[in-house]
Amino acid sequence: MASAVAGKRRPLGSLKTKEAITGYLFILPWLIGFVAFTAGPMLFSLYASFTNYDVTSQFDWIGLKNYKRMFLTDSLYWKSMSNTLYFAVFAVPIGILVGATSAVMLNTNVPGQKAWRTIFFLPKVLTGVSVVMLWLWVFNPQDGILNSGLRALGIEKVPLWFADPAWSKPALIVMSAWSATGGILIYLAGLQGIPKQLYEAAEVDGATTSRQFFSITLPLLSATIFFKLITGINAAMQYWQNALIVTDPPGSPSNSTLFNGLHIYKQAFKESNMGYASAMAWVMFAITLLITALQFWGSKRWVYYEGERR
Amino acid sequence: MGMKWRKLMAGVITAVLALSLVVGCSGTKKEEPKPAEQPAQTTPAPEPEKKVELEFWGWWSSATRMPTINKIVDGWNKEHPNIQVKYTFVPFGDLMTKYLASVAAGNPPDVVASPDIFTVPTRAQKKQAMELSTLGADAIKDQFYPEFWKAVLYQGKAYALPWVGETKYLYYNKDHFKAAGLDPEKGPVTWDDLWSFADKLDKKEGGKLVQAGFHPLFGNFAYRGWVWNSGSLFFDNREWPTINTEKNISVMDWIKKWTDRYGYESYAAMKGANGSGPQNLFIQQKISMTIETATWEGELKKNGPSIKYGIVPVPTPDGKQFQNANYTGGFDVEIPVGAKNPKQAFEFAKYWATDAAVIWAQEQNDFPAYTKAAEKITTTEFKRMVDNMKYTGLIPLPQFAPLYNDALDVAVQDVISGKKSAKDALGTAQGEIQKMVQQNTSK
Amino acid sequence: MATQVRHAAVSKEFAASRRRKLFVTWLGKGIALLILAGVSVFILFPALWMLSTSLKPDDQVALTTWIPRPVVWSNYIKAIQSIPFARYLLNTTLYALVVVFADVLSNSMVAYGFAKLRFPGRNLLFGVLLATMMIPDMVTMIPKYILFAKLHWIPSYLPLTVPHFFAGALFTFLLRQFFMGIPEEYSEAARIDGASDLWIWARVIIPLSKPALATVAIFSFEGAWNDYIGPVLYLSDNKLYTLQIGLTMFKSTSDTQWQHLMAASLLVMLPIIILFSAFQKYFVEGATVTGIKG
Repeated sequence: MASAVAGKRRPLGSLKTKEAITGYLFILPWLIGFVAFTAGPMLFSLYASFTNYDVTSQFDWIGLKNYKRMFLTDSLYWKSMSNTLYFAVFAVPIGILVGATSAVMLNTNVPGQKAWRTIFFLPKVLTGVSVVMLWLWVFNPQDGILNSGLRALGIEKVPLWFADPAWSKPALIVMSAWSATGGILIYLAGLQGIPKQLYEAAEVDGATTSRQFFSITLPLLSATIFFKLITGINAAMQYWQNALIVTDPPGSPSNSTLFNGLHIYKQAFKESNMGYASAMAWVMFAITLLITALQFWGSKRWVYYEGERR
Repeated sequence: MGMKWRKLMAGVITAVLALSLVVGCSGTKKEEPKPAEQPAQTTPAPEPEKKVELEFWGWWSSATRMPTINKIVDGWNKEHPNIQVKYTFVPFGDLMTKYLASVAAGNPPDVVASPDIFTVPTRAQKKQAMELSTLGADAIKDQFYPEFWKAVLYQGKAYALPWVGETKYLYYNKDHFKAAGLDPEKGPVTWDDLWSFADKLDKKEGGKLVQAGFHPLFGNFAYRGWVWNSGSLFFDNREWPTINTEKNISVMDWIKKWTDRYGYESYAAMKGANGSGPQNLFIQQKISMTIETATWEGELKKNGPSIKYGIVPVPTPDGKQFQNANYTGGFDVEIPVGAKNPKQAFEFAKYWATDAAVIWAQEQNDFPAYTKAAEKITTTEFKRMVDNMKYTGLIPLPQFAPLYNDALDVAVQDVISGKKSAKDALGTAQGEIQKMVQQNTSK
Repeated sequence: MATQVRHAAVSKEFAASRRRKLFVTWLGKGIALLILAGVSVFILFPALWMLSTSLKPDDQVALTTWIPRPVVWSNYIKAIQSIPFARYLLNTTLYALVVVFADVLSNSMVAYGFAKLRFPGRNLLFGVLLATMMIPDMVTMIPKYILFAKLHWIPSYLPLTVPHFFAGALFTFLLRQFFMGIPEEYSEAARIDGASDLWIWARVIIPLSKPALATVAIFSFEGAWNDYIGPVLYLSDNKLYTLQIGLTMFKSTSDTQWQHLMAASLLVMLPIIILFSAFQKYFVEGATVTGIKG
């Protein structure tokens, strides 16, 4: 008797368990790699943040000293955080806008589609000196194409871009918008996942192109946009190396391009304060995590997954 | 479906090939010292010497540099069968990071060339570079220019051997001088000369600056260089910052005067047009006088063959030359902490900094810190460099504020853009650098 | 009679709206082309400058002219001869192929787990996965190096390749988003027929994800191809170096041969561009079969 009842309940339970085991098996590669290669260094740097670690000669526990220094006495820290947040607030939305609209444009049947797409992908692979030349040409205060254009429009007091602390970050944001075209690939992948029948049906119903865009494209692209949002936030919070090609010395002018990542790098490798650098890195980590978590919470409202399994 | 599986197969085959390549080549770990296989000799040797292979890191790789590197290394290897040196190229910008990581992990190379002689005391204090005095460095200390030797000392002991250095000149464009009515054989001597010459050399076309006589920040010379040039310093003996002294403020004011002469916008535009190689402002003939290193002369001849130039020592406020009239950097050679064969490594390092440095200097037009090089190299250029060494200072980085120059950069930027007065900007810098020192001494 | 009139009126309106639509479409296409062309100028500028410099004779490299006279194609030969180009090309290609294979395989598996399977702690573990990309890598660089040194994997390609077999935050996240957009009906249909999840992953999900997998392949290839600090840190044998390290060999503190460097840089960029171009077929309509038949 009892076994019969128990037998009835087991199949359901075992199905769930079976799925759970399968789930763990599928993510096992990551779990192994995480334990083997990632967790160790991460925990090491967390521990180091409470020490005076300088890589080669000392590793003593100093408690919260690094954190106190960061928040209470290091004025450059607050500058670096405000620089990074300023950059993130503008660069992320602009990057998504540029990437998404470029991808949508390049998904329509414009003549030469393949060629245009390849051109738009180029910023991902163009690096180094030639890119510096481009931006020197664009942003030179006197001869640059940007200021020449502004003067032609009648604006007399043109921004001095990398010579002016107030305009150096906007210039970098423009540069990052340029690079954002390299991200069309992901949007294109997402766009291919939208069934054509939906557009055809909408066409028959008489929907305009913009209506189709807002009611079909955007919602079905939301999973992709969400990905770009999260990774964009992450990249912006860690942005510093790309600024090096145009700022000389790094951080100039007047620390207006001293991003948090640059500050961490300098402390780690130029002042040998790896412990302090680790503390700053973990605070940045916590902030990024918090923002990301908030985005995930908010994503329930606007991100749509056709095949979600809750 | 076939497509995907075919791709998978291709991937697996590639992976197998790659792994075999990787496994095959990852066997090149550091070789353990091998006992020499010598048959019993008639001439009794005290004990058979161990054969050792040294790993030597440097940043040279181009077609112009490698022949000399190979010549030096091959020459050494022939003469020293028991100390074989293997040269490994590491890109310039990341050499120091890799060096640091390798010391931390306990698998460092045996000898490292370092492009930053100023941070030797830091690496000494941080137990990254090995102490060399007891290995024999003190015995050869008189073979180097005293300024260079001082730079590698930490608490009285040497932690590196100086290798090559530099010296700086003021270069001026003789054609520009002639056109402006100045004597092309007489370069500027004082700060006032710079100003008055520039009065004649500046050229404007339609309100835009097309030729600037001079600006203290357009060449290879920074604010700190001018402070030293004026006879002042930034730190007192006890490593405490003395940034905002009257003298230093007046030097800053002098730089501001130069910027105001052209206007900040023109200054920024000129600066933006400056680049390396052929884009150098002097080579573009956009400025008439500039300060550059002695070895830059080679670049000048290559990229600006039509320019007729003159060379004089860097002008000082009163025209008198002295040890700190110009400043320079230097390269050195070090043995990392944890290197397995320090004695043999030192033998090679010693050779590198002395006789090899002479070969290098001859073929690469460089300036060794080894004084005896002057006996072997007798070109006019070299003689000029040797003469200029008495006006060249190597001011080491302050131990507790290695990033002090960052605070100075901010101050300079604030002053020349008009945001702050020199007094305020340097006052801020003083505060910042004081904080740095306090932070780094309270560990 | 009334219907006829109404028909005529409706068809006239329809025709007019069709004309409007066509005009808007053509206007839209025209504007799009204009924008595309304008932006392309900025994108092509650096590439064209590189090309121009790479074809200049030695004495014109310094000049800011665009058209070299004469055009020196032999710069490309010289560039290839200046460094061990062929060997580095082989090294980098093998390295990149291994990484692509590892990335596509491992990330698609792990992403399937997070997207399509339920297990306790799934959301927490996914959070941990994402968190791993939020740490600035300057502070994990040294402990990672020490870890690999203790495994005796330095110097070799092992630290650069092996971790890719264990998936990573970026690509898993990307594929998870994509997999979550594939309707459950596909998996359900296979499950009803008795298929295991492994079969579903391999035979249902993967074929439906060609654009996303192609994206991972391209980005993974590009990451390995352009990886610089990794090879610098973990390799010491000059014979094993990659093309990116090879490019730095053109630079010298005083006499960089810009024309050869630009030529070499363009050659190094080519494979990724070719790969991107070749994979375009995954990014057009019909690349994904959508819509359940019957």
